[in-house]
Amino acid sequence: MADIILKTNHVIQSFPVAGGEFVALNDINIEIPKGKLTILKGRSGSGKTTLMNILGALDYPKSGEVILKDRDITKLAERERENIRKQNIGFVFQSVALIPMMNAYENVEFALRLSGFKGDMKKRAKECLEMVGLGKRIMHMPQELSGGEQQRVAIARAIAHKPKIIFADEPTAELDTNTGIQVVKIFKNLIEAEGITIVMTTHDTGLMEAAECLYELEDGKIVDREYD
Amino acid sequence: MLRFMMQKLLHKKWMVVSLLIGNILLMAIACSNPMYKNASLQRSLTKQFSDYVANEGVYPAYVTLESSIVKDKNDTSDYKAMDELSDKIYSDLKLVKKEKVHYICTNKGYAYSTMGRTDNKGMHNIAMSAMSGLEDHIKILYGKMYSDTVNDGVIETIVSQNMFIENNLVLDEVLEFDNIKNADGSKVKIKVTGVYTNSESNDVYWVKAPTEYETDCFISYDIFSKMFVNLDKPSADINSIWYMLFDYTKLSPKHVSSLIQKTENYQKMYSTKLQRFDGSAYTGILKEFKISQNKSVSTLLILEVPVLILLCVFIFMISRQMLDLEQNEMALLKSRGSSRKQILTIYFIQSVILTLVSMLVGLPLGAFFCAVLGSANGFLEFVHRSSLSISIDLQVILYAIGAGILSILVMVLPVIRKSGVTIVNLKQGKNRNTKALWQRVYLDVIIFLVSIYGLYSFYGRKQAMMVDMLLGKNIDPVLFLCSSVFIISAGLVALRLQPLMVKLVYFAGKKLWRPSMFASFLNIIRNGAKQQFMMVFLILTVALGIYNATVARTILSNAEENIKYINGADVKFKEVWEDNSVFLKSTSTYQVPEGLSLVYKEPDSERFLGIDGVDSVSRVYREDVCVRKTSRDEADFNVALMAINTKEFGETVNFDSTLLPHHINTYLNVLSTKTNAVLLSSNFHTTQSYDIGDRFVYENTDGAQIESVVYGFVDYWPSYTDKKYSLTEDGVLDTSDNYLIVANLGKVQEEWGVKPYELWLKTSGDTKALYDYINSENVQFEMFEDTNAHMVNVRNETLFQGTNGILTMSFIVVLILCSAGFLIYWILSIRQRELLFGVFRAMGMKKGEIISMLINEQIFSSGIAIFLGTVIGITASRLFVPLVQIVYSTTEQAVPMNVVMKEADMVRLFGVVGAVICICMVILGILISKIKISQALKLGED
Repeated sequence: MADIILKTNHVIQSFPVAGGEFVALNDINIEIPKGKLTILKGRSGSGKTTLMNILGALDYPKSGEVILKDRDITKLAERERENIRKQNIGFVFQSVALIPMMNAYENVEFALRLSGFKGDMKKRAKECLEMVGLGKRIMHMPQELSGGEQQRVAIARAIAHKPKIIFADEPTAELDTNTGIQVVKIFKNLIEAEGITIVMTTHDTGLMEAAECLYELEDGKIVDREYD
Repeated sequence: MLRFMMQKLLHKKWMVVSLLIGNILLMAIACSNPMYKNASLQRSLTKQFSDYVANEGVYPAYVTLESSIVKDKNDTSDYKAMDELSDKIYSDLKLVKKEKVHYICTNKGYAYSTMGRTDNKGMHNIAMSAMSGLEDHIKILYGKMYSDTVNDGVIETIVSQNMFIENNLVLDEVLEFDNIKNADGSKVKIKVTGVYTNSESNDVYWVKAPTEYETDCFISYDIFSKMFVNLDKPSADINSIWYMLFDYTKLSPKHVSSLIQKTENYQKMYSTKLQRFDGSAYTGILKEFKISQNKSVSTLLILEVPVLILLCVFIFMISRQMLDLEQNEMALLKSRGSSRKQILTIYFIQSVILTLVSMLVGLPLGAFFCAVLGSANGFLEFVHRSSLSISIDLQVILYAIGAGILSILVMVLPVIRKSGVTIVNLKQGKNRNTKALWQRVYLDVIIFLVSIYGLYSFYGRKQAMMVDMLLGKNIDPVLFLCSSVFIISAGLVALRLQPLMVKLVYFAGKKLWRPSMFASFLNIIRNGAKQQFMMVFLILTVALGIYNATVARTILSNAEENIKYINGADVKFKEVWEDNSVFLKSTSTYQVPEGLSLVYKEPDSERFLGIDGVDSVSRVYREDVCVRKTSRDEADFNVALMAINTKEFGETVNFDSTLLPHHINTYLNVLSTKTNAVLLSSNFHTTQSYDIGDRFVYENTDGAQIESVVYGFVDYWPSYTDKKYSLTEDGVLDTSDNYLIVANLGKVQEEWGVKPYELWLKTSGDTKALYDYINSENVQFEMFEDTNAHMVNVRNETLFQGTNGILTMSFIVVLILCSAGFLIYWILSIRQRELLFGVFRAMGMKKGEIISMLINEQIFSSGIAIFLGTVIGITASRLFVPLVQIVYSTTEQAVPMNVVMKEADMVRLFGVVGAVICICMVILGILISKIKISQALKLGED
């Protein structure tokens, strides 16, 4: 078994709804292996995104711990979580969420600026875009790119500042099967080239094979786990 | 359908609220115009009458009808006609009756005392008179009131004190008329039972004061009518006057024109001795009122035009923005088979509902605006003042309906274009980022150039315009329109500059920008079009604010400067001097002893100096003199002489030292070097070719001469105007030169003796003690002028006050529009960017960085807008205020007009704008802090 980069202990999340509490996550205990592609699988509403937000320090759980590199990030102040996000984490969202007023290159470069990247930003941004196969269209605005291309920019942006771990929430949901496979291939390549850890949610069973570690969620509970 | 509409409205409450604000304001402003106009004109009409009463001591609101009955002529139809006219005149002229006084008298005749008095020869040339309602308006000084019955053939009568003394009568003296006979042919006998005077000193009943009835013996009106007024067979010569007093406070400004017209018709119709109609007492006042009314009504309406235009643009833009948001729904309806007509109907009903609501709120708000207008004292300056009587009449309702139709049109028109769009067209067009039509065809630049051309041509006609204004003509509305168009189009042109300015800053520091700055610059540069809506209003708010403040400040300050200059000192007056004229008159029938002439007793001017608040006193002697020309072929000419004591004068006068090349004291010092030195107005030099060092002679009306030497020329001098404007009878403006000699008082008094002079006072501003002294000592004046009181009057004039009020109101309205626009823009902008903020936060951007990003956007949008607005406002003021000022000029304009900007106004303006922006920012801050990242991101998933 590989090193564990991130693990959760008894994470519970609930939201107030009319007439009580809706338990979105119920006692989640998972381990994310370093330098691997981990897939969180489940139907929509099973709690994947909620879990992902907690793992990525975007949201606080009701209770439980999230241990990233020996530190429980749920206990950290917002300011420190911001720094962790900035340096260690990259996000790829289901809805592409590129910054609309910046072109592909600028989107990536902006992530570099934001993380306080020390090297040659121009070179790194181009490198990342090439890595996702977008070397040629880097000066296009997001709305001028196709869905798959936009998602690739988003990936390039997520990896640009060399984070330890990337969270990709349904990155293939809005893409056709072929493009989806392309995206997963890119992830695989990135793991090889940069040694990143990737956590990705999906409900597309066709992509499951690519996973080196797989958790299945149902009604906020882990119902299945598979390792390579 | 209706439910769809209501849901739609509820969903976009911010938009609906601003749309309502726009509509309500439009309604309120549109309605406030006729309301204010009526109320303010009513007030100034009433004031013009009451001022007349106060100044002249006479009640001017009455019609005089006169007729006579001639004994030898059997025809009394003229009299009957006038009597009938007196009954219907009030309804005919639409006047409210105050008092109808009928005065009748016999011709004067000789009457003899029957008492056989030795002290009095007893022959009096007197008349018998009667006046309706006399009993209620007199008090008896001695004796008793006449009785209503004839006792023993003797009619009882009362007389005025003057009459009593003049004729040396005694109480209960019986007089017998020589020529005035009873019906039976016996001589009429009267008995003086009392002496009367008016019961109240300012009783309007007495059109002629009791003292003026010097030959009238008043008897009972009933007895007079019975005994002497016989319309079938006249028994005596009777003169009759009907004084038809009306209540001028009930006079409506709307009826002024027709009242003048009808009065003049009547006057033409009845102009004989037997039938006379006279309304001259009030027509003069009414005509004067009409001239000022014309000017103020048109000016006030024109002043409102820019804000009305802005309101329409605002409503149009908001409803278009709303439509943009609703395009999805609309396109959906359309593709589901709704006809274009149905969609239009929805929007029509919606706009009608909005308009009706705004009418309900707008009318009272309009009335409130009027009250605010009525208390405006300057730009953004209010005082407590007697409130206007505001009423809602048909005209107001019509204005409201007009405004309603206008706003419905503005709201529905954009729908017509958009309602044809289906969902397919919509999706196709979504990503196209096109510039607005006006920007593509450079409409703003074209309009801007047109307004510059307008400005240029107005400058060419400046002199002619001034003459027009002095003739009481209406101002050319295009001038005001031109300035509004200039400001609006300059604002639009400036919008083209803003992206350039931002780009400049962005590229200049590209390497330095922190990520948040970087993002905000890119947002302004690439999403700028959306901000323009908000920026237009911000630019216009600031520009209009500055412009309005400058106009208001300039007209007021120039009017005040002018009054200060014309009056010369804070207070000036001429006392009534005691003299020996009575003595001279009484001896005039005999030979006037040699060397006896008019001698005055000079009152002590020093006594005013001791009064609290009086800082200095200066004696100023003025007389019209004549300058003798040495050569024969040149005509003598008339000159105003002002003889002064230089030291006192310099300490007392109000004089703007920038008017002359040197300080006025320098001139005074020169004048004081020699007793026969004089300063002359410059036209002596330019038109009469006098030079420094010339000797010349001026003489007064008595022919006494003074020789003097020219020591200097002045263009301006306290109270001196170089041109005299007057209207000739043909309505042509006549200009003539005024000449002035300033001489030393000592010299003039030495040559011509001490004659009544004016006293000019400098006060500390507090004149209470002075007035107390004047009242307690009962000082009599030939002339009295208080500069401060004069200025207060000017501030209260309809034109000035309305101008201040409307300029202030326009500014406040623009400010409200601006803040509504500002909030809408930012709320929409933040709502639309919630996902983006979530992404930023997910990428590790701090909350503070997002806020600093927004602040940066503020600086480069609002900040630049305020800057551009300031530039435009100042430019517009410099260019247009000198022209606009002409509207407010008078024939007495003496000092050059200056464009005045006061720091306090600007501080107030920017303070208000800054406060509004801060409040908006706080609201936005609250909105932003409510955003949660995870929720914001979820938004994007939908």
